[in-house]
Amino acid sequence: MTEFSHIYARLMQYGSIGTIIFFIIGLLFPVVGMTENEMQWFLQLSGLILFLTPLIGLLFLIVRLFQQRKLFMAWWAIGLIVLLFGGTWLLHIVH
Amino acid sequence: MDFLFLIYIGIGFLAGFVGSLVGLGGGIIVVPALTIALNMDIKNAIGASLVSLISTSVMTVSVLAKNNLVHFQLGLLLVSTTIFGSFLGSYTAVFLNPKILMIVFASFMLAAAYMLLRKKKISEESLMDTVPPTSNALDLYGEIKKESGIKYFKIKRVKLGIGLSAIAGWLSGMLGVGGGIVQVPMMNLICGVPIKIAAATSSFMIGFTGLAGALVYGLFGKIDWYLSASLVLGTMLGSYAGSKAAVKLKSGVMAKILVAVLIVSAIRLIIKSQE
Repeated sequence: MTEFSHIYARLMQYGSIGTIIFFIIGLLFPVVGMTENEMQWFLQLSGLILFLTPLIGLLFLIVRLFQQRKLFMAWWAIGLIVLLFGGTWLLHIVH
Repeated sequence: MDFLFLIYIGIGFLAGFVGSLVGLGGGIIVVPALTIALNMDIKNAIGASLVSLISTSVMTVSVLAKNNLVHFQLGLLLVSTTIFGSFLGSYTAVFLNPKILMIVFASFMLAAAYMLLRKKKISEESLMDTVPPTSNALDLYGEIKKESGIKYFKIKRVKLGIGLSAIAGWLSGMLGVGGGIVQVPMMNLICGVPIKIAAATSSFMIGFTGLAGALVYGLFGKIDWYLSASLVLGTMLGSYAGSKAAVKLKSGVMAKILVAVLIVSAIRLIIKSQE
């Protein structure tokens, strides 16, 4: 897993840098005369980058686990994604 | 950029630094700071805190994974039940008296702090020079770099850990506290994982726990993105500084920091339960 750890670390690093850059640009919107709505829209888009970062990392982990024939762990990770979105969807419906 | 923006960044930095140092999300700092000090609506504070949990995790893991401190497989096993418990916890909170639960939770944290103080060297003593034998998918081992070279440790009671993670998630979902405060002592004391690995693995897990909560809050439009963006900037800087410090710090020092955080959090919860 050592090599994978480094790839995962790099992915998280890219996600962090991307999020920081987008959030700084978004927060500077009022300074350059953009509206509040435009700022909120851009910040939400930046938030999406942050939300996607651990998910992309998880997808890489799943691929790695399949490559290593660790099928139980790979399917468990897929179950985690299903639980994450399924749970949110269920809560949304129940609410 | 107003004065408040700088305060948000400052709160985020503090939360990120402490959080990444001991494997917590930092929500335990962000939520009270925003609600008590800045008199903010608790739902907005929790929503922004959840977004900052993800950023703490992403930034911390980017440093700790490079140093091979994250146990991905253990993290995956534990986080699934944590998220499941967290979903249940957020609904249980509606029906139970939160004051009683706060006292129970505070007692649990004080007990964990006491056990950490007494048995903090338990995992150090069980380190091995060779890879321990494994028989099935839940039979895990990990490795840690020590001054004397690479050492291996067997992860004990994985099934119990998975079960307890659900309870941890249930408690954290109910009380709005990050799961790390339960997960790190649990991984260390029950599963026999060295505290440095436990803290790093907890940081990995917090990203997904935070994501689960943030998705729900986002769906209901409860995330203030201006506040969240400011907090995230501070959190990321704090997490980076904290995770750099975490690599250099010895496990004993981190255990003491965790004990201090547990005691302070428990006292805060007891005070909050009396309000």
